[in-house]
Order: sequence, then C-alpha cells, then structure tokens
Amino acid sequence: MRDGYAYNQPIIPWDQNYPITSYIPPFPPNSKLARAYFIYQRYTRSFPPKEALDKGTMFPELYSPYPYHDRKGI
Amino acid sequence: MWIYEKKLEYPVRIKNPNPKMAKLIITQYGGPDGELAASLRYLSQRYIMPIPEAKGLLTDIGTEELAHFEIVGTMVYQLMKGASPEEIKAAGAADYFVDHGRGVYPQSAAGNPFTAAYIQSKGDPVTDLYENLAAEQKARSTYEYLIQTADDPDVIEPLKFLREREVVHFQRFGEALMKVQEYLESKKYF
Amino acid sequence: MKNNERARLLDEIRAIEFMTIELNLYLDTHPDDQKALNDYNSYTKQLMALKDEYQRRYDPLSNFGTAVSEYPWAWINEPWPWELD
Repeated sequence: MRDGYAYNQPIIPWDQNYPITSYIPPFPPNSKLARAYFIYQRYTRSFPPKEALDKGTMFPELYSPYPYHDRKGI
Repeated sequence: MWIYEKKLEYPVRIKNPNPKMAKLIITQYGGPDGELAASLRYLSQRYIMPIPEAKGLLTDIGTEELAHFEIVGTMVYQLMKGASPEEIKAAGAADYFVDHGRGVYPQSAAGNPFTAAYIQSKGDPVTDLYENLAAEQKARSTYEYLIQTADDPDVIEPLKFLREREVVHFQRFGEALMKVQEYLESKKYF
Repeated sequence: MKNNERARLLDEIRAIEFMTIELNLYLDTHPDDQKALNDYNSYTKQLMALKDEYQRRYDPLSNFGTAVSEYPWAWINEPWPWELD
C-alpha cells in the first residue's frame, strides 16, 4: 500500500459511514453541493425605535447581544 | 450621488480621553476589516450585480458603512481630544502623534496605512457576495476584540451597536446571495 | 447639547431614521413584503415631519438643496456631529 491508503477496500457510500439524521441538517431536497444556503428572514415583530437603536437592530430574531462586561466574576 | 446628513447614526459622547484606545479603535477606521474598507468594497462591487435587489443592497449597505466610518472617526477624535503629549506618550501612541497629532488618519491598529489591498471586487456577483459575508464576520470579530479591550461604557456602547449592524448585514448579504444564485441558475449562466 | 430640547428632538430623529434604515435594508431583499413597506412609509412620513420641525427651529440637517437656510449661511453652524458641547 502506498501512503497508507487502502486501495483494495470497497468504496462505501458516504452516508453509510455516519449515524443517520442526527448530523444531517434539514436541507430541502434537490439542494446542491458546493454552495451556501441562507434562511430568508420573515418580518413579524419589531422593537420600538429607541430600543431598536440602542440594540443595533429592530428585529428580535437578529438581535445577538455581546454581554462581555456583564460576565460573573468581573 | 451622496448627500450628507449632519448627525451620527448612533451618538458618540466620550467624556474621558484615552489615546491607547484610540490607537486600537482606529483599526475600524482604516484597517483591513474596517468601515472604510467595507464601504469601498460594496460601493465598488455594485456595478456588476445582475439583479436590482443586489444593486440596491450593496449601495445601501455601502452608504451605511460610510455612516459607521464617521462614527469610528468621531470615537478616535474624542479619545485623542484633550490628551496631553505626556499622556499620549505614556499610552504608547507617540508614534501616531508625531505623524498625525491628535488628528484622524486611516490606518490599522498596527500602523499600516489604508490600502485597496484590503478589499476585493472580483467582478463576479457570487464571488463578491461570499467576500462580503466574510468581511462582515471579520468586522464582527474585530468589534468583539475591541469591546474586550475597552472598559469605558461611553466607548463600549457604540462598539456594541456597530457589532450588531455587522450581524444584520451578514443576513442581508446571505439573502442577496440566494437571490443572485437562483437568478444565475435560472439563466444557466456560464 | 446646550439646548436640551434640540438634543431630544435630534435623538428622536435618530431613532425613527434608524427604523427606516433597517426596513430599507430588509426591503432591498424582500421587495414584496407589504407589511415592511407600510411600516417604512409610515416611519418615513413621521421622519419627514420631525426633520421639518428640527430644521424650522434650529439648523439645516442636510445640504445640496435638501433644505433652505437662514442668513447667514446656516449649514456650517456648530455643533458638527463629532463635537460634544
């Protein structure tokens, strides 16, 4: 064997090597390889204006706080 | 063309000078993952976008990044204002001071002047949008590092605002990417 | 700001304009979202009224023909956005 690669082994389909469904994200059928997918946001609710400006977004589903200085023990 | 509005998108009211912090924050003014780079990148890429959603989004986010460029410049200005040369020297900012005084100059935290080498405009709408997704993540990380090094709430609040904007922009570029990819696949583009 | 009422009005303009910016970016990728468009128009009308009031009482917020100016040329008046008073 060259480089330690087992040339004589049968080719196992990739999805039989891994536990089913736990690691496979729920992508729609016919999704293509070699490209990224994004979920479209759907606007339903919003923070009021002053709170939105303070937080940096009007959309609760896009709000990602960064409370570094509020950690315990600091 | 651009019209200027005489107010900051988010207020900056820094009461205590801090030249050390100024030298770090300036990286979001003229550094590799900063607001000037973001603005020029998006405003340069918009010309070759194939769908109106992408032309609009790149123009609008590019414009908002100029507003952020202004916020960061203001922060540097206020952090240097009122600091004596002795304080500046003690803060390790004497090398910036001798070249630029208490003025605002587009450079990175390491002292490298701004360059278009920080951006790419590849002329390929899919490539450009992936570049932009990466750029927004790099900016978010930089703001997180800056927030970690800051201790003045007057400094931390605008940094948190700017960081959250990067998260929102990332989502928008992702949506634009979906639309561009769908459009190009439907045209069987080569 | 020296004038607290002026600062309060400008902060209100800032908050409403931020809503229009957020909805603007959302509409760029969701051009047929009716609710977003209605909200954008509603905030825009509110913003235009607030800006009219601010510019009537204080200084122009924008130039290149977006608002008229008193004498002498008011566009250059302080404070500029990077200044604390």
